[in-house]
Amino acid sequence: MTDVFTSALGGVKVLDLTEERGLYAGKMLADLGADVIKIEKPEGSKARRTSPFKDDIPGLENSLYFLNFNTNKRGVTLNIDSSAGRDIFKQLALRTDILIEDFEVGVMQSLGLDYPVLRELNQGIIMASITGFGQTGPYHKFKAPDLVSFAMGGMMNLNGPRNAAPVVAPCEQSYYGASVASVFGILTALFLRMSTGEGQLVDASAHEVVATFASEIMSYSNTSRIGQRSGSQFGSVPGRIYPCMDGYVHILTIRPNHWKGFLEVLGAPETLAGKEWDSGVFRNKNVDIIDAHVTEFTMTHTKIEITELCQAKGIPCTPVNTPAEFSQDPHMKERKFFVKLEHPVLGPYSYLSPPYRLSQTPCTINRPAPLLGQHNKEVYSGELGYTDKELAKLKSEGII
Amino acid sequence: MTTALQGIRVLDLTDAVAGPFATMLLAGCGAEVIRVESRRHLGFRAGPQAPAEGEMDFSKVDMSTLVGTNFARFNLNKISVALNLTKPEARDIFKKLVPLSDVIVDNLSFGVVHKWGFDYDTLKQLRNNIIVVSMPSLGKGPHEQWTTWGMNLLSFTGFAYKWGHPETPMEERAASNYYGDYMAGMMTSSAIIAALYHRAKTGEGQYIEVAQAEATASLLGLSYLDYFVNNRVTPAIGNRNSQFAPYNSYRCKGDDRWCVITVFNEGDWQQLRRALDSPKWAEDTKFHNMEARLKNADELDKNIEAWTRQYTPHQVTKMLQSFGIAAGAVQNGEDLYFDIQLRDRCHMLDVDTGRQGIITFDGPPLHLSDGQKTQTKGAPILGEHNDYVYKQLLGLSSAEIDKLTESKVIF
Repeated sequence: MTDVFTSALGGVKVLDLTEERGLYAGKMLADLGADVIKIEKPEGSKARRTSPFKDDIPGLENSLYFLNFNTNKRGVTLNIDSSAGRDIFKQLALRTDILIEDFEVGVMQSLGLDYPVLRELNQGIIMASITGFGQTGPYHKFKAPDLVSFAMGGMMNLNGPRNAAPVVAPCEQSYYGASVASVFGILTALFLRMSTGEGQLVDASAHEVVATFASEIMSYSNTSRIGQRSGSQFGSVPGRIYPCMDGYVHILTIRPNHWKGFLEVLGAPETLAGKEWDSGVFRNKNVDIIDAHVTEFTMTHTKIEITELCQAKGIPCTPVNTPAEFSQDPHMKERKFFVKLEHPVLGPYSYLSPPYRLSQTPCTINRPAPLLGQHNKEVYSGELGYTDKELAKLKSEGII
Repeated sequence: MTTALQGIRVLDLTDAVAGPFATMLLAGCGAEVIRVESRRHLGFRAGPQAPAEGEMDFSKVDMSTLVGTNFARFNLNKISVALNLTKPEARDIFKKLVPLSDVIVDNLSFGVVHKWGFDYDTLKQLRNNIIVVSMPSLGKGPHEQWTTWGMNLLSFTGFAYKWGHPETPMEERAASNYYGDYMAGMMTSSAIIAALYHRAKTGEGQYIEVAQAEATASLLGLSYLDYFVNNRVTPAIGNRNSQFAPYNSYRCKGDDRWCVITVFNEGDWQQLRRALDSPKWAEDTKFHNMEARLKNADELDKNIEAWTRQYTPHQVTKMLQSFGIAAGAVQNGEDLYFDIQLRDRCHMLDVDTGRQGIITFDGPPLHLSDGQKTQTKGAPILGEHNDYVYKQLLGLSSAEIDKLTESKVIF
């Protein structure tokens, strides 16, 4: 258990009913020190059936997807489709600060567990509903897995090769976006609650969050122009991923000093000496000439050589890494960004530290994702006072 | 209506996207965010093509005409004080603001605030429960001096490697956006509120560091786990899914218009067949279950696309969603601007930006029923709130202000 002195959110209680879209919200709150109870159906969360699996063998304790999103959470099973299950849920809701759920709109209401009902029980409860389109509006009933949110939110149209289909980001980024936005809302509501004593409903929409990332609304209202896909090209030429001797590098020359520095890296070629080349507009019109010079340089150097030469002149340039290469980067190693954990079924494994580093209340991973029903006894007996006999009965009835 | 962060004062030393976005989220919840900035280094205020230091005389520029649109977008609801921190007297003035403030945020180049003497240990002496926040690209370590933009970090962390169609050459992978900046910004503002909560409970301030490289990499947690546990790096799979088919983008009627369609089970598949008027091809055993459809995904997608090409993306969305199938339009900038869902939820803000007129911005990524501002102010002109900061907060006289202005401390 965490406390208020060692963890930013020590003592804050969270019930986590999420299956996918909101999983990271629960993880983020847990990593910041809240006591998050992950509630799963007795047969296990949908996330336990989502790939990838260890050694590609499906199994309730084998899903890396479940493992990824449930660190630092405690886990209980509960069938909230049954009235006995809902009674237990209400006992938990009475004692919680925060509830997060990502069911389709209307599901919590059909279970009799929507915000007005829970508020009757617990005036201070902060309930976050994390959905594809939000609780209101003409699309609120639309189904919205990640691909739909990324498309409707406008990020997809802007990303991908110039002359091919737009492409979604890897690893369900609309879920991360909606989750982190909801955590921002939850914590704001929690802070406000200290002075008002009142909770509120936090209504997160993946569609809206992704639209914010796309940034197209401002640009359309200001210029009437529609953003286009450009592969990796950004800003003035050169400003993209280039091949090199041992892989790829990402070079940008957005500001005038970047271009000046880059000319020095290239050895001040005569062709690019005129003042006109300082203009990004001019360079963009002569992309072939520039690219010939750039690739002549990059193809005779390694990723790290190019990066170091460019960085010495203040040019934004990095190697293009696979996740494997990134995890072996000396910088990330020195910062101990990767930690070793131990899972009772999967064994020892490496994992990423939470990226928010707080000096007085550091986010540490104290436990891996819970096993199915791992904390049933701890929560139901220890905190709600059920006897072993009652628990056995609930189990035989399929409630837990 | 109360705002959640009323009474919280933030000194904002940020530029570009991640930092200003983080502090703007705080401003939207009622924090008083003071941009401490100078003509000496205009950054995004002057737009990405701004001349470098020493290239022109900024003292002659009319600041009210100089508002880069990204600056306007990420600095709503803030106030601005002109203070040239390269001068020692300016740094003394900054230190007088610290005891009056709760949070200090910077995302300047590595080492800059340290050089100015604004490290956590020093600032803590000035106010012991201060929350100091740093948002470096990479943070302390072997690459600490690297200059990066968010796009570089998409490449550095593995996003570019994974963000493309299988056949997309690496040069054309999707790495031209500010996605990492937005996410680092939201994570940082969340961490700040968590720290404020902790301070309210215990009286203790702290130092927070969110390195954008780490924030970005953490969004690929699953790919990292797959590497650490299964010792493999799976290549980009584009818009397809390894467990479900059909699941892809499809061309629609119009120039560069697309939709997406996803099917998760046999029920969805039967509904899709109905929505398509039970076409003959769908009866083929090649498509009779998920496994078969995954195996014959190319042919499956070709058949579906022959149908989607007859309709606009929004027609496909409406038709398929009415059959309970998760489909959507690949919306472009114009679609977003007119999006009835976003409008119905009051997502957009129409803001008077001064010389540039009214511009529509995205509102906060999340609306609360209580705790956020309901009126939005445009980004401040540089030094617009000098009088408030220098006279009201610090009690300087007009003569003192004139002198500091003359010596380019207030600049």
